[in-house]
Amino acid sequence: MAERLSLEGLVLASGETELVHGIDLAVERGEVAALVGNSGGGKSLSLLAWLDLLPPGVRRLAGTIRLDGTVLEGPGLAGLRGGVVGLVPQSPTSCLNPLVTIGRHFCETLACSGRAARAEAAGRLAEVGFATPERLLGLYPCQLSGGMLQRVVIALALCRDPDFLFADEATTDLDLESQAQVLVLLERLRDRRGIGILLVTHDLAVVARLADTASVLQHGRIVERRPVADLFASPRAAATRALLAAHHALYEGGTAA
Amino acid sequence: MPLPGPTSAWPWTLRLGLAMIVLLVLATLVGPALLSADPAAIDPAARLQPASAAHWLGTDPLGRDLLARLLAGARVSLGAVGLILVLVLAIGGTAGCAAGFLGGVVDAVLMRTCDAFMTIPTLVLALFLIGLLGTGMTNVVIAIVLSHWAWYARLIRGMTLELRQRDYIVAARVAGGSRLAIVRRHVLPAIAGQIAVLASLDLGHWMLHVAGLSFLGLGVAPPTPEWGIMISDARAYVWEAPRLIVLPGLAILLTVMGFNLVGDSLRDRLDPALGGTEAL
Amino acid sequence: MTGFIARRLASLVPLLLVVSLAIFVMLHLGRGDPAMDYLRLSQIPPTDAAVAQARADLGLDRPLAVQYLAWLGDAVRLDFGHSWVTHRAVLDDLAIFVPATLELTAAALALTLALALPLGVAAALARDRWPDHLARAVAFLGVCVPNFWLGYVLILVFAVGLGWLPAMGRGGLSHLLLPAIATAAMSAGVLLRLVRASVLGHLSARHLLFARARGLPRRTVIGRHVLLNAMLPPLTAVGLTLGELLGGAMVVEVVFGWPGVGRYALQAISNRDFPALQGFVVVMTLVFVLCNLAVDIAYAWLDPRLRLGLAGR
Ligand SMILES: Nc1ncnc2c1ncn2[C@@H]1O[C@H](COP(=O)(O)OP(=O)(O)OP(=O)(O)O)[C@@H](O)[C@H]1O
Ligand SMILES: [Mg+2]
Repeated sequence: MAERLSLEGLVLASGETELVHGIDLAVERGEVAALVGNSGGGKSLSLLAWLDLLPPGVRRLAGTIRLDGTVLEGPGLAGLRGGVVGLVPQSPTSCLNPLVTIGRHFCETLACSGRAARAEAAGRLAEVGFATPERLLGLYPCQLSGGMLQRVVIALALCRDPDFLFADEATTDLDLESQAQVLVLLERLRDRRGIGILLVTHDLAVVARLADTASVLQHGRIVERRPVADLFASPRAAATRALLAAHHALYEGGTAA
Repeated sequence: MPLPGPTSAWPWTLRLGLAMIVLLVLATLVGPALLSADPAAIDPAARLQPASAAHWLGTDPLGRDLLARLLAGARVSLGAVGLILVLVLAIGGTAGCAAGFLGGVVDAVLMRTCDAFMTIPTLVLALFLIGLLGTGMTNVVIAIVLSHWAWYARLIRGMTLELRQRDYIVAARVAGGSRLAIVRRHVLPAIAGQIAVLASLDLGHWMLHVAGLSFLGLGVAPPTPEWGIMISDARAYVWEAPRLIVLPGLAILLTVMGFNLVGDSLRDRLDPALGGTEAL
Repeated sequence: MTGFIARRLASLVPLLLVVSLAIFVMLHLGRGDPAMDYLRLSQIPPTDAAVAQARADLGLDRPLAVQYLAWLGDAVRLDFGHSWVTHRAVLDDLAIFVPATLELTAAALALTLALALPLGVAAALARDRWPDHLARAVAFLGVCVPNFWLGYVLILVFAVGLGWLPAMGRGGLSHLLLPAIATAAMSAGVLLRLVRASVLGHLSARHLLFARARGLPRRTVIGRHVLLNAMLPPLTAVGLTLGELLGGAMVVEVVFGWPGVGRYALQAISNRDFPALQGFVVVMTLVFVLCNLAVDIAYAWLDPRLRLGLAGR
């Protein structure tokens, strides 16, 4: 089992414009690292670059990816997908093929079929909080609600038992109950299986509850990275203070500083 | 390829297509005057001659000069296509604007009529209409117009409906402008560009219809030269003089290519998001 | 699924009514005085008495609405009366000619799909490299070439020149190949472009990102998630293509001496044989509508959103 997956000096560009200016990120076994920051700051792109899944217009100009010290390139990065790293992309509602049943999504991911695959898939779906998972397998994505889809996507990302999970705003669309369920699931995965989690989120409450360290990404730069408790107690960067102030304003009715 | 991509304002496909059409139009206008041969002059002594200095492309079974007949035939074909264009736009435009702007019963009746015309396969409808009206180039034109106007009416209605919601047109209506004036001043100019592009895409298609129907013997009467009927007339000479079939067909092919090159490039310019529908 | 088919069938009824009305109106406005044509073809001198008699025989003296209902009643039973030329029931005549045209159309459709799907996909996957340029050039040529002329060129090359295939008539597969190519060229070109554009459009679909992120092999990603989805939009075009193919087949028939319905229509046109003409237009429209229905059903079978009545999600 891998211990540490890191990304160093990542530079991304689209055409002439540089989008991400040399950032470092890492996830470690049994830890939850949070990545927060302004919208459009480059969080999603950084995750995609990590797995060599950048959209056509965006290029990786620099950046080294290491798995336990081994530098990975091209095929190595493709080899991370699914088995080593589970990715929950942003806005998972459009992540499933509308013409393919939920059951088949699991079959193709698990690379097996028949009874065993169905049982396995049902088990995975139960993990993310579905009471009657068998019923889901024959359904098409259009027959599920947004929150249900999001949990299905999480289950799919986890179904090959990856060592790490990249969750890009995985709880954004969920009602409070499902959100709590997912958070409990993530906590359990970390505690029992020692999975390392990289959590991209705008919700500082989630960060406070789950994360060990947090990185603040502002306009393509990491402006602050510290253990969560320190970060909340004494934010240094202006961007962090702004984030915290906005959070308090929203949840505690106070005024932004 | 060192050629400019389809995103440039004047891609090579557009330039090539325009050049082909301009050349063809020039040839039909000036050619007959430069050429000494008369497309109708029958000369039994000179039948089925191969290409020579006197007859650049040779002669047909009646000894008529093939090049002169090709040029004269271009007039008929291009004239028919031009007429179809004008009529389709006039009928489709009127019906579409009326349906979009008047709405209600007018819209319902017009759109159901469109449904009917779009349900009958175009060539079947064209043959049916020619059967009713009788043969002849005029009726071929009418048949093609009647089997294609509905698509344009539909499209223009959609555009008009969309425009109706726009602020400046709502403002013009509130200000009490007459509907006709609004359509003329605001609606037509706004949709003209898109419609022109679509029509340029259909020119080649109509050209093929005209040629096909005259090939079936439904167009011009025999002595008049026209590319489709020239191929049909040469049928008996497939073995003896394949040139009589190959050359008029090449003329049709090149003309249609010219139209389509222009149409495709214009469409790509209008909507680059369509990505990958570039002409070549 | 049965619900979907029932809904689609039900929606055909008003459409076909409108179409029948349009055909009837065209028939009435367009044909001049059919009594005169009837007399001419029956070789009866057109005296006043004979014209009146013919008008009564043909039911032309009744009110228009009554004529339409009577005509519709007959048309629904596919009874178009007797051809004024062959004096046989029009439906019997059509039963001889239509199958030949359908055979040619079906062969052309098969060829269209066999060319357009793989080439369109290959072109999209090799975007802006040589297979793409080649496929697009071929498609462009197909869209521009007059089908009847292509027929002659094929005859010149493969029948006259090489002597590989027969030039004329209907028979086995060898007779079918050349006319099918000539008929299919245009539609194959159109469909190839659509398939290419559709595949290109689907290459950026978001669910592909997740499919790749799950570590699926390229084979599965392309085969299931790109192709399956990319085939849907061109499938609707296949319905329209069928109209184009039917029309094309009728022209190409003349080139290859194919005993199809095109020949029958041409005969009806030159004789002004109206029963035959209306039988032709109604039957061909029905064929077209039914083929489109089949395409719609195939579409719904592939797309659960339609099948489940959840369109728009
Ligand atoms: N395909 C692309 N081509 C070019 N630029 C892109 C592309 N995708 C994203 N960008 C740009 O990259 C920047 C970072 O985008 P990214 O999606 O990583 O932001 P983010 O931090 O995830 O924001 P959010 O919190 O809103 O999800 C944005 O400025 C965006 O405009
Ligand atoms: Mg993002």
